[in-house]
Amino acid sequence: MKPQELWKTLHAAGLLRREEMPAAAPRAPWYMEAMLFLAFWTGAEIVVFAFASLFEVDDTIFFYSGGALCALASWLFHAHAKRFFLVQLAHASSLCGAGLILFACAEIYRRHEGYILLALALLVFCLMNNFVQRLVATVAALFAIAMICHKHWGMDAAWLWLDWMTVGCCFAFVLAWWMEMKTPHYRQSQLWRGVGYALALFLLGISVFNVTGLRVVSNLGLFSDIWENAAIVSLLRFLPGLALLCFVTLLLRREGMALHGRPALILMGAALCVAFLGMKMPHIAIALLILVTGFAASAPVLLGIGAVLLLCVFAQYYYWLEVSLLDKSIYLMLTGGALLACRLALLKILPRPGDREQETGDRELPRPREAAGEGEHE
Amino acid sequence: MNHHRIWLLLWAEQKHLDPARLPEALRLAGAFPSADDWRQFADRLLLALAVLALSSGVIFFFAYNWERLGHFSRFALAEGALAVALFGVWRLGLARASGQASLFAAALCLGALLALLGQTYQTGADTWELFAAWCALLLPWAILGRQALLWLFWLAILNVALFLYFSFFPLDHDNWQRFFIVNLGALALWEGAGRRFAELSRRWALRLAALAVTCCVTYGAVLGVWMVGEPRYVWGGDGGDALLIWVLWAAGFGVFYRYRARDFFMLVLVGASFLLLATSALIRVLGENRKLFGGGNGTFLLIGLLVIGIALGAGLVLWRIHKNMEEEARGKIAGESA
Repeated sequence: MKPQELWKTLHAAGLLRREEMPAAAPRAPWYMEAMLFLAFWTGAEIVVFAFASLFEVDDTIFFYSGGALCALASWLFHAHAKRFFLVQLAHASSLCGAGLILFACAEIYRRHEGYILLALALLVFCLMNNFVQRLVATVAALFAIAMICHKHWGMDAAWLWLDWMTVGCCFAFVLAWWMEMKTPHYRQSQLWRGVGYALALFLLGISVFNVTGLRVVSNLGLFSDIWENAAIVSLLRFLPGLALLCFVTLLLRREGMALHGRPALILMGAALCVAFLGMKMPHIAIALLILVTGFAASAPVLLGIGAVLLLCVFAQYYYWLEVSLLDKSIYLMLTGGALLACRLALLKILPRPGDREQETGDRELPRPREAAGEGEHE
Repeated sequence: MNHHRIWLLLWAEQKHLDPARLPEALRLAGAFPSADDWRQFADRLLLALAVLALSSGVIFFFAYNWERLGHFSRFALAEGALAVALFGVWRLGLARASGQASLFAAALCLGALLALLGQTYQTGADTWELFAAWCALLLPWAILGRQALLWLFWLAILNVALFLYFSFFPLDHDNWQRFFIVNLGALALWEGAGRRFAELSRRWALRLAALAVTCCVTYGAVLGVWMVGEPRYVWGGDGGDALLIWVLWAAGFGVFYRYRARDFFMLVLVGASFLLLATSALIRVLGENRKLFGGGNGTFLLIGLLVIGIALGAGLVLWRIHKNMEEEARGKIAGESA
């Protein structure tokens, strides 16, 4: 539905005073903004590199120059948020400025790059009133946290703190999208959506990181006590499912369903089953969490990320060494059969309303358009 | 959809909508899924997960028992899986989502069967022949299925077959032209078929196909930029034909998707390709004359500023086109409603 049609519908229902929709600030589609953002990012990086190499001056000059550019960007985002090209100029200015500040601080405070990046990301997040800037700032903050963890605990424990980060991101993801769906304020919605998408991209990156084989080795052997090790590993794999359970519970409350009722208990039970399944099939709960969230928030991009993540999970499972391929194939075939049985049960319990021909619940796909002049064939 | 809710929040912030009546407006706009939507989502999700799990289970089983199974057992299993999937297609019908899912599963099983064939009967055939055979055998199903995802999958297999063929039989630097012609031809046929069959008119699938075409022609043009002026024996060509093809492609895409198909995404692809081409040309031209600009550092600074400037210019042109297309669409809606 286009905005004009939605406006007419709401006006007819008496929710809007004005009959004619006011002229909205024109907006470019997301792919055009993404293209320009990448082009400006490339140009900004080249300028920062050249500037840093060309002018052999005090690092504080870079710091103040970067600060001035960031301040300019912040002003442009606040004062001219509706002007498309000024917003793009603000993107370039922000990227240049952040690059110069990062370069200056990294020269001044060596070996603290992670903390500098984190502080800069938080600063950009707070100052820049723009969805893309906040998304990039959140991704940069997560990367900075990973750098800090790596600095403190090293690569030997990388798989442990990375898993804890993943668990933290799952719960942060639930919080971000729940706040996004709940808030009645446009600006807050933009803020939470930027954070939510950044977390989804980070979770996707973790799974792709697994699939490419860089994390084939499991966490076994990190602790001297084998039972403690197994418990920690199991807990880390279970917790993302708990995030899914939390989100399902919140959704049930949003829909006004009683939590002690049978449908609610079935759905929460299913989420709990996914949590336990995650102990044997890592990241399946994360993929389903993103898919369910994408549908609940009516966000097609999030659904796409969830679908890609689901494929990564299955690809990753092939390389998982804790169980033999035969056992994995049996688990998968049994699970597939169980899922089909669940689907049949769902169709029996909740048939499509008012549709006798489609009692099995499959929606008819659109018929092809008839060529001009041809009549019906049946 | 999500953008309905965003509009409503924006209108509430602009005081066009009473914030106290926002929940009512959200319900009316269908901003959140209804109970029926949730039921359908659960149905589709369970179906997709079941297909993935069963297909993966079959593949994993093959991988495990590879050495232990005899030839006939292997073929019996592979053909059995294919038969079950095809039975599902016949029983459920292509008009249903589950029938389409069965067809896609059958396409995957066909690939597994061909891989088994190649593995068992070592005829000396090359890997590209497997993918070429898969492509040829899948074509009738793709035509009958009229499923956008299956056609994308078929196109991907075709590209893999071509890539492997050229790896085995390397020709020259102009291989990208062959990829370009194949993918462009596929896109043209798909656009034509999309006008007749609604299932094939899904823009996301056509845009992915167009992205493949754009990657091929942009790669060739960027190579061409570096070939211009160089002796032929260095690159095997002079780059002029690559640039000419790019110009023709950009003009054709621009005119068709601006005035005929009216898909702004395709015009953005042309813009992105132009930006990459312009950046490559800048790097080459300014790099070769860097002494004029104060050496390497000054050249980099100039390149960076010019890239930002060209991006701004391209964005301005695309923005103007976008506004014109929006106004034309609004005028069309107003005309239809009148």
